[in-house]
Amino acid sequence: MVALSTLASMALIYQKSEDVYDSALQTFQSTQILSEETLIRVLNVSLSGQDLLVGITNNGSTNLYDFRHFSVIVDYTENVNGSAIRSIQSYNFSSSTPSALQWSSLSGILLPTGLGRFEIVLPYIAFVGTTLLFVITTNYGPGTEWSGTP
Amino acid sequence: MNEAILIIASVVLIGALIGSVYVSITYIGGAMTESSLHGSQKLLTQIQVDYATNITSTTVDAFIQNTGSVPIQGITFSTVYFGQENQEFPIGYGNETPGWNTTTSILNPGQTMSVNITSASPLIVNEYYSMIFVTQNGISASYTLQVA
Repeated sequence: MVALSTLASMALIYQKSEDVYDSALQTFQSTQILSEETLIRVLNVSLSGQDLLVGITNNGSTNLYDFRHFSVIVDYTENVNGSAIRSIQSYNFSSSTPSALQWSSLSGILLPTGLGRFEIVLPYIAFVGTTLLFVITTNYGPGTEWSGTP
Repeated sequence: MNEAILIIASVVLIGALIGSVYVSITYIGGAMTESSLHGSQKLLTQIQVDYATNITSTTVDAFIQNTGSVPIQGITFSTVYFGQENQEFPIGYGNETPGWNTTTSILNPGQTMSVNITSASPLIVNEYYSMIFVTQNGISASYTLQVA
């Protein structure tokens, strides 16, 4: 009787532990697949005052919409009253009109083979003739980097 | 009389047996649950270094993103390795030199944090340096940069 109860209890505990691990494994595997199927590229870049407009193509097979969990980093030389100051900042997503140090998606959800347009608002205008670099990474991990003089 | 003593002894022995089995099951069960939770947390933790660059001759800024499914607690208990490529060594957290610093204590899924690294000696221009960030539960991400 004691042996049977012991076995039953152990089986129950083992099953519970397995369920927790299996659930995590499934989440891990689905995240890995989504990561492998995500690919974005920069199509074009233009700068108008403090507004950095970036054309993005979705070359992967995932729907990209979780912009709040994207990462946007800009490394550039800002023109602060004629002085050149280097700025390296992470920008936050805004679902409405973005202000300085924010960005938003002008085209909404980015479907596979689709084109997106991101507006990134710099804190100051860029110093003329300097190089600007930005990194955009998706919530699944893969992203794209661009550098040049827009 | 003898029968009564035997019955009492049997009850005591059975009670002791059940008690020890219960303690063993609780102990083993706790260890199994802890082990599976630890394994699950490791599977769900993922990070990547999105970008890193030197901002002065002795400091580097790095941006680390949580691309996993769970918050990363205790960021300051992470380990950072930094140095010339393939010669990285662990550096301490805080204001010491060499060292690393951040204002983030919990990194939520999707969130990006900034990490500042201070080198003890000036970085060599055009040389490649690497940083490796290792979370408290052993998940790591690395980035190699060329010093400008």
